[in-house]
Amino acid sequence: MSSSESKSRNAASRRLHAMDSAAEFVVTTGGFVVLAAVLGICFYLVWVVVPLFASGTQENELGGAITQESRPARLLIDPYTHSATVIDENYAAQTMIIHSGEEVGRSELALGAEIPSAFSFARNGEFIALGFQDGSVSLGNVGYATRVESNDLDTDQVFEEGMIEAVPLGYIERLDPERGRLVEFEVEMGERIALKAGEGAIIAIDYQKNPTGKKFLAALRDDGSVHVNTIRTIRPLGGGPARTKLSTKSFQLADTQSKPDWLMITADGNHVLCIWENGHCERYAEVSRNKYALIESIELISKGGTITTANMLLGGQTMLIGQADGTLDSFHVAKDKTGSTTDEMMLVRSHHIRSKNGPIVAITSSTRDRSVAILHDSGMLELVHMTSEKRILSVDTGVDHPVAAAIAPKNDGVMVMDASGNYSFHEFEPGYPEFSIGALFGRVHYEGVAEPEYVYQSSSGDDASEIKLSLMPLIFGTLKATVFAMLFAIPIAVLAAIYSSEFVSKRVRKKVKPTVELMASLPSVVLGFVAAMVVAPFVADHLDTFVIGLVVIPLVILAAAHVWQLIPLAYRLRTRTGHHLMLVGLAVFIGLASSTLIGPMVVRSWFAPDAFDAAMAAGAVEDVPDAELPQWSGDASYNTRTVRRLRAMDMGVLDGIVVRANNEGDQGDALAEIGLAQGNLQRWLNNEYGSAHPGWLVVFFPVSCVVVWVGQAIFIRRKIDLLISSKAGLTASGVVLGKFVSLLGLSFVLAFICASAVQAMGFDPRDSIFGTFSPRNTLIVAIIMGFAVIPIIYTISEDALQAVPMTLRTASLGAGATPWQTASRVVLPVAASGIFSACMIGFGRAVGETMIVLMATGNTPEMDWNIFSGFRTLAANIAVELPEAPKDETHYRVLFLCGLVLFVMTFVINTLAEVVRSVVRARNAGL
Amino acid sequence: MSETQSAQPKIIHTQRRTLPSAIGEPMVWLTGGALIVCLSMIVFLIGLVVVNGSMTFWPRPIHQVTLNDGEVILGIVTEHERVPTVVSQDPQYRTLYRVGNRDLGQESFRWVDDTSIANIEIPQDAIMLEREVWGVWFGVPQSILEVQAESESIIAEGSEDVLNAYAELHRQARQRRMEVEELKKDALGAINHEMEQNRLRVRQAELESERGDEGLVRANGVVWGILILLAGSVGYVLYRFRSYGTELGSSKARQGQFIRTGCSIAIAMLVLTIWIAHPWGGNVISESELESMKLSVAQQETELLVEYEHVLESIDEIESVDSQIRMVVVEPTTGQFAPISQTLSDEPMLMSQVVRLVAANDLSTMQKAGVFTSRWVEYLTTNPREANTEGGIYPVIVGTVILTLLLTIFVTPMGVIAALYLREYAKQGIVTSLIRIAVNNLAGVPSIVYGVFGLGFFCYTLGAYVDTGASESARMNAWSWWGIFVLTGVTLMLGFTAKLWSKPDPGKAASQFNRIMQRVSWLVWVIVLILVILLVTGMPYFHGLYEARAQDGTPTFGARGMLWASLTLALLTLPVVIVATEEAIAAVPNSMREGSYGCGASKWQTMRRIVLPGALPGILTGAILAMARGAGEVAPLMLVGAVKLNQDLPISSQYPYIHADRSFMHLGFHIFDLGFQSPDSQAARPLVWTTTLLFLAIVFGLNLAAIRIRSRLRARMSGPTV
Repeated sequence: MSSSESKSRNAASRRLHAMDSAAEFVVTTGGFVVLAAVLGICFYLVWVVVPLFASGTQENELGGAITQESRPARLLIDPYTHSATVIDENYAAQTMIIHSGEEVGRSELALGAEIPSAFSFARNGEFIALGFQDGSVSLGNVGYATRVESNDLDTDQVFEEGMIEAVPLGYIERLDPERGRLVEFEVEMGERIALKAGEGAIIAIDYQKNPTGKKFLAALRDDGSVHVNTIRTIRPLGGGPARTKLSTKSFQLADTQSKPDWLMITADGNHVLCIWENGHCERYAEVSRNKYALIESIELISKGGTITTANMLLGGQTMLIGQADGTLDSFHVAKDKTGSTTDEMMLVRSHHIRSKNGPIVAITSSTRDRSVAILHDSGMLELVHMTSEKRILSVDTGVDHPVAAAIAPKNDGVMVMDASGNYSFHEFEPGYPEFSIGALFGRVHYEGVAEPEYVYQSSSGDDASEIKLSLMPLIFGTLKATVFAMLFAIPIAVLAAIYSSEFVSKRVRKKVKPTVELMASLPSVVLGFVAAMVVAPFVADHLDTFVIGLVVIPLVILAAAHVWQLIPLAYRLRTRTGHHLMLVGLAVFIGLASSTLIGPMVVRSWFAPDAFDAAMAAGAVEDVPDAELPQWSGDASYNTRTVRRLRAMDMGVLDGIVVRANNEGDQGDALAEIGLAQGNLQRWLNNEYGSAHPGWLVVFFPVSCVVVWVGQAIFIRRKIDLLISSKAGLTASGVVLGKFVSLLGLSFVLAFICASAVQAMGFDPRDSIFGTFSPRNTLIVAIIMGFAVIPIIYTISEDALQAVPMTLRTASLGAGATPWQTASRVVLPVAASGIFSACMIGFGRAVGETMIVLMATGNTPEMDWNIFSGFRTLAANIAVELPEAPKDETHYRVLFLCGLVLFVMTFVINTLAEVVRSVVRARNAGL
Repeated sequence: MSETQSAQPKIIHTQRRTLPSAIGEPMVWLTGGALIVCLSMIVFLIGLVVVNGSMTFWPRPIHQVTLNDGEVILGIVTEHERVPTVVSQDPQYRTLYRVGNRDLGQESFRWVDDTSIANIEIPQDAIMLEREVWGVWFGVPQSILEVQAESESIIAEGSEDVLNAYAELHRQARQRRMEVEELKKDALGAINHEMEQNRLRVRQAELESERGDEGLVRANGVVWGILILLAGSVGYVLYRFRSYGTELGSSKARQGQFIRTGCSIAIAMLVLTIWIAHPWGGNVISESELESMKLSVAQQETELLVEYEHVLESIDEIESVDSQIRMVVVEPTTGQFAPISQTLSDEPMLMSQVVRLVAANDLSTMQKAGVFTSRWVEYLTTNPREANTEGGIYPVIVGTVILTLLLTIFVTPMGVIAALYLREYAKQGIVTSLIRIAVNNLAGVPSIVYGVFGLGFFCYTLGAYVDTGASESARMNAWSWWGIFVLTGVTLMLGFTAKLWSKPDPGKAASQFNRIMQRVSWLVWVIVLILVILLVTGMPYFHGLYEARAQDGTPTFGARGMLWASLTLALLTLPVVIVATEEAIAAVPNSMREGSYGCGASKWQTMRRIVLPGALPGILTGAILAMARGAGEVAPLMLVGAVKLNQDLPISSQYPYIHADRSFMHLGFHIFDLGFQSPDSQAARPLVWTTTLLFLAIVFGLNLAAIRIRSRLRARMSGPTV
């Protein structure tokens, strides 16, 4: 039946058609989505990171006015930003509701009729000190008390979320119909305590608390005396009111006539700073018990400038100075390396923030982080994070000639007020103030240090200390790990690939290659575990063997090859490749054994303490007469370089005096006593003893080997070849062996000379690539990372070498070249770019390796090239910190940035490798 | 390269001798040395793991060490090394003894200087007890007691007797112990689980009743009826036009496809609308319903509590029997026996607290082998004890296996579809080769970056969506959502139209118009993708599957877990599968495709019957390589789900049987954790080696399988058939 047949065929074709389009739809959509998802990783990382770069956003704005009897001095905002309090110059506190401007109460700070003569206000009123005419002080605090109360709404009111009802000194915010949150302004001032020392009114006062809870009060009296008080609160055992006791240390200002405009004490209680309006600043510190002295006296600002306001940053260590030209400077006390002051500290400028908005009238520091609000006379308010110098927000408040500003405790609002009580309030979202490009990649001047530096320290002990987010130590650590690992891996992997591709039979290669490839699949956690548990202790115990082995094993292999050459060529050619490999293995074994033997010996003789060390240990030193001192040694302040140059001449510096050994006392015993009868590489590395010379020898020996080898290749190889070309095999080989031995000797001599020269110049390798030994160090990571990277480089290089067409090899061999000549002059150049891309791919793997570095290093974000110290890489940093980072905070996003940096690094490297590979493939297609 | 060119240059017979520098023997040796170093590295590493890992469980003799000061120590030698701090001419050595007996308040490992040892004996009656808690106990067995309420009777006394009686009594005691464990875990666990489920149900109902009807757009009955009618009539149109233009080479093909696609999209959208905007109450719960629900739950709870008491009673019963049989094993120096717990030091321990008694000094080799095997069995099949330093790693193995399986299940279809698309469906051009390079590069992106992505996207974004629906900020209002919904439908239709017109008429070459339409359709697809993402992320009707739990602060999918870990690893291994599959597909000779088309097969038929079967071994290799790579990764797992200890397996007998939200233990992470974060790293050390051995065996096994399959495949491909 043709019609039914055609019908069924029609139906079949329809089904087919439907299946086909369905399949196409599924595959296309699925493929597209999968590929989009894979590529979406990068976009997601960017999406998380991008908000970091945004500055803060301003949200709501409110304005109003209250009646104000006298000029406002300070402003406070409550934690929920509904009310604010103004403290005016009469020390009266006026509390108001911000959105309505309603005044809800007045409280007096100073009890009694007497008007205080000095006032200090720190941490949003948490620490308040008042000084009086009669020389007494009163300490206390102001703030907001919050509690949730259950009180029903009046019957005629309808509940609205966030409804505010004013009550005396505060308000109630409705949470639900039954409950409300009561926020009240509170003043708590202590009784007046008379200062025992000094005379006259208190004219300036400062009150601070250090992180451990110790409180300090500094007060300046009319007679020019300054009193530093440590405050103790005593709670009587039997109950009763707590009493405050002051223990006072006093000193006189250097110039008692001119009174400073600002008096500050750092929160650690160590430094008293007096600041005059013209920028003059004097720092006083305790030089001995109970004795303060003027340490330094500096000009904070350039001539002609005027300081308009000064304040302390959160933490009470950094002083903020606002000037009439709108700039803000911050200063802190840091260790002074030059030793120009008696307490070895100095006041340094840490940040300098310019602005074109006119004179600064007030600086308010946040109580949450290191942000400050800078209020300008023009009514502009700038919010700046001091560490990152990020300008979070710039607001035109609309208030002309404001006098006071406040930041809300949760960093979500600012308020400014002018002299007559007009105010404006701005809600804002700070964004990520700790983050800025400068803080991430540049040097940042952190509190307490003398110079800007790169530091990564994401967690801080308390809210007052800084988060340090420089990525440089991490990037540096990543590169350090990678570079050392590649230095170890590339030679081994590439040479091994050449051997197994060019000099080995197919049978052997079929066994070797999968074995090495298996190594590629070793989980890195296993490698890391072995590194930390086996390799690290082994290297720590046998460091000498290990370091010597890196040089000795290649040398022994070369020597063995030269000895092997003595055997007539005909016999050599009969060796099968497997056996040849075994012979090489024997040479490696001999190298290993001999380095185990000579390693400790070399260390004992080279890195042994010299005569000067022995004399120092025995205390048998004498002063060097001035006449015998070298010209360049200069005066008594010996810097490191001078000391090292002296050390090269067997002289040393003891307590600022140049000394040398005299031959008294039993110096050997003295050395034995400190366990240094023989050399100890670790202690040498830790810079406990010894001169720089052997270290330089170790550095220069490989270098001079290469130099000498290149030199002979250029200058004498041809001549020797010509000389021996007519000789019998054995003679020729003998000559070559002789050449090898003498070149080795020459290299050693060269290295020795270089080492002596560099040492005499006062350089020490322990400053750079050597240094303090830590058991989990770069060397170990380099070796173990080698396990991870070698197989990759090996496999890809081997593939590249194998891809060189056979015809090239046969042509070369046919033209009379030896296999070595064929390999080095024909195959290698063709495969070079393939090998390069192999190395790049290996590099990419090493950059992102996580577990090995996590387990085999100490993960300390340091920045030095010392091969015996640890580091922290980007990947390890993510693994350590991301599990604990709270979502969407700065830290979390910065860790995502680490991930993005890693992504980009590896992506660029891999793309480079891929491009090289494809270009070469196209080029080689013609071969 | 064959042997002739490798190392046998027989071509050097000229007048002049071959110079040593031409043969380059030193350089050849240097390259050979590199290969030797390479090979010895891997031999060294594997040897190290095998030796250390396999010997952990072999029973070693117990030494009785008498020190110079008269102190006697019973212990097992663990390490022997040179004293690191003493620097003198002749090295001094020290020995690390495992001395156990932690309940006596001593360290369980002790360094003893060899110079301070007076005498070492190997006493025949010394035994080592492996216990449930407090680690091992070294001592001499004294007696087995039966403690009744008032009286105490001795069942066996003296070392030999005790050992004889031990076997049977211990078996019974362990059986009781297992029963109790089972009751605690299964019966009590199930009751707890049910109570928790009830509480969550009530909480969920509360949340829904609080939310009420707010924000929903509901169709009223008439509109809803019209929608159903509309869907029906569109369906009828689709049915009528089912065969319109389906004849091969038909000129009406495009119209037919247009109509059918349009109808399909319309039906899909209508069904979605009907489902979302159905007019009846839906999940809005009234006050009274809520009250009655609370009542019934409260009633159930009291029933459950009764049952709970019941189970507790039966546990007590078994435990009271259990506590009668005691074992006295005395430490020779202090005379102190192993106590029941550290606080009750004057009561001898229960028989059931003993996991294994090893009379290490009195064992024949066969018996030692028996202990060795039983320790292995315990290691592979039981849960860890004592902060993972003792007991087994059963949950670790299960976690690893399930993770690997899940990742393979995810990655294989994704990879195959992507490869099929790239190789067979996408037009080969600059874009595809760029994508190919990108995919290749992604194979080189560090695994930790995938971990970061997994944590941020899967756990915190996708997981949070599953838990509680769209975030407050992203949630749209109902009307704009419906607007976008309709817009998506229209755009989808536009895309299909453009796609239809991007293909040339039958028998004609592609025109400029076709090419423009091709571009337009691409653009529209991207827009549709964005719109769909918007629709999903802004969905106002979906409040998550685990809202109640999330409200309690215990996210279900919004935290680290098995599902997200396996998806992360799937993404990580995706490039491996894509590359392998693509290679395999490319290796299928074109002649076979052409032959298939020539026989009249359609594209999908060719794919399904010719290309995919041909590529199957390659796909398999890719999948196994992905498994191997995924199983060996640890860094991303640290971020997305692996934990130190979680004995709740991802598979259990409790509903829903597969708990993809649970965190899990993993071999690789276990190694890291045990080796580096263990409170007692000395005790953990031997187990880390064993775990490492196991881990290596799994990873190497998978890799070897992949290599074998690949080499077989290559042999077949290069065989005589092609």
